[in-house]
Amino acid sequence: MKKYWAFYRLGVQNAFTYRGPMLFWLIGNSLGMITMLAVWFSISGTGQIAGYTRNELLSYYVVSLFLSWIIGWYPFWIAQNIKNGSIVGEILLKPVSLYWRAFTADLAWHTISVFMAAVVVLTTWAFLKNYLVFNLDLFNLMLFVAASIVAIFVVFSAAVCISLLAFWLTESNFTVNVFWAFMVVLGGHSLPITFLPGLVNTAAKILPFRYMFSFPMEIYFQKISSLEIIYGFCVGVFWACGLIYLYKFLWRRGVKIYSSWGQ
Amino acid sequence: MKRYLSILVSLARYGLAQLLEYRVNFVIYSLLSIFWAFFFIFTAGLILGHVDSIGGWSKNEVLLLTATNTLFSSLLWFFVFPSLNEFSELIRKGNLDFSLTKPVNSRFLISIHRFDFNPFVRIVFIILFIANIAGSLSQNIGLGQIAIYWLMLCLGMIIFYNLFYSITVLNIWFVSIFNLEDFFSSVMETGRYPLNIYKNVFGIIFSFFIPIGFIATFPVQALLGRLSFVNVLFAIFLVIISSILSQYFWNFALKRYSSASS
Repeated sequence: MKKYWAFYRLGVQNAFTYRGPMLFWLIGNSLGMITMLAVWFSISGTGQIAGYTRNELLSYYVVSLFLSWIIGWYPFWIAQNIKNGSIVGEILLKPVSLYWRAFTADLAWHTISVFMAAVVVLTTWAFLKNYLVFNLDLFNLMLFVAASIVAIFVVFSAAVCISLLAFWLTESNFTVNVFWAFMVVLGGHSLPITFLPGLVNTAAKILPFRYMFSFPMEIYFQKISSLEIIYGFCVGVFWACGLIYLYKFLWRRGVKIYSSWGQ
Repeated sequence: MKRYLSILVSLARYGLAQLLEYRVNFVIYSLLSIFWAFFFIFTAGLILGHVDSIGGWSKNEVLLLTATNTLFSSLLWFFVFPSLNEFSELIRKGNLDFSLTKPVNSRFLISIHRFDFNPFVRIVFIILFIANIAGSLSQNIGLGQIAIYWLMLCLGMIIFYNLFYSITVLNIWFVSIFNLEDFFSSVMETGRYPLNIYKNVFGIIFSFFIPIGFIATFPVQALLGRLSFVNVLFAIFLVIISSILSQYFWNFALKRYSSASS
């Protein structure tokens, strides 16, 4: 535990040392939010669109900016380190778990980033308070937090598994791109998943992507029934456990066939 | 000039060879390129399935904007973004010295030292899609309109190359901005929808400081014969101004560059 605490502190120091990435992440994500806010502001009418009012859709992108900063755990650097061999010195020759080493690094990054995201979200909220929706009670807030924690484990474990494919493929950029595409559409990043047509919508509720992002959002906007929330938690936990098991399997197999030069 | 052209061809050949080294990645990526080409169009289509227009632009016009936006960013991913993305590593490891000490223009070398042929298939498919949807919008698109469409795309790419190059140069101070790739993608995404949806302060920012109209809105207006001549002049003006400013900023930054090693 002590060694992971050391990795965590190292991660926090890194985040403060290299402030540029944090700044550009903030601006980039804010641009995405501004775009979607502008789109929905430009659309007239007060009726519901795919089960959401216009104000709920505006709120969706403000909350999603904050949530994406909390649960956006993507340690794709692992694939790069496998490719260039630096994983040997960083992980293989040390008595540490790759999973928890990467987890602490991301935890450190998000400890800092969540404050910056909060500043942007609160500022946006102050300007658009007449349009945005906030109707969370304490119970729903607790469900929202719990669903976000499940989402962190699903998205992080999936990203680690995808990175580990580099053991076999060496250059595995395309896997990351596929992951992103599914995340954006089926995970509810670009639009609430109620916008998806019938069959795709059904698939989204079974596949892990919904539980990486959309599920906490649906709880926030109270778009699902109690039964659906219980179902959602069961499926989300199933995917989190399944992906952690898959990580262990891929790691064991990958290390056996891995060869590296010069590091 | 001949020497620079020869370097350009050599680097492009090297990029192709590098791509073919990882053949599985190349084949799958080429197939995925087709998927990517229509991915953004699909997401725009999800909104358009529920509304009649966005910012006064009809469904097919918005689809044309989205397709043009994908074409614009794919072209930049072909030969500008891959090189700029590596700049932070050049700074962090001190490898920028290799480019600075070569007997060629350092900015030229840094800007095009890496070609990525992965988006090639995507570019071909998206051009075919644009031709198809533009044809359905208007039967009278002439060669002149097509020429101005490409002219606006090219001028836009020069403007955004200058802008992104200047932002990349900030690595000299920040040392490791490893996520510029995501930032560039976010800027590209703002141009996916009509420029007129951005109001007030964002309207000013996206018209003059990050002129996203050149990513899709102006080229599509040119294709549909609605582009004001003032916007063509504005594009030329921005090309000149952005080139001067980014070159000045590059020279200014180089004076503050201290190598990390090598």
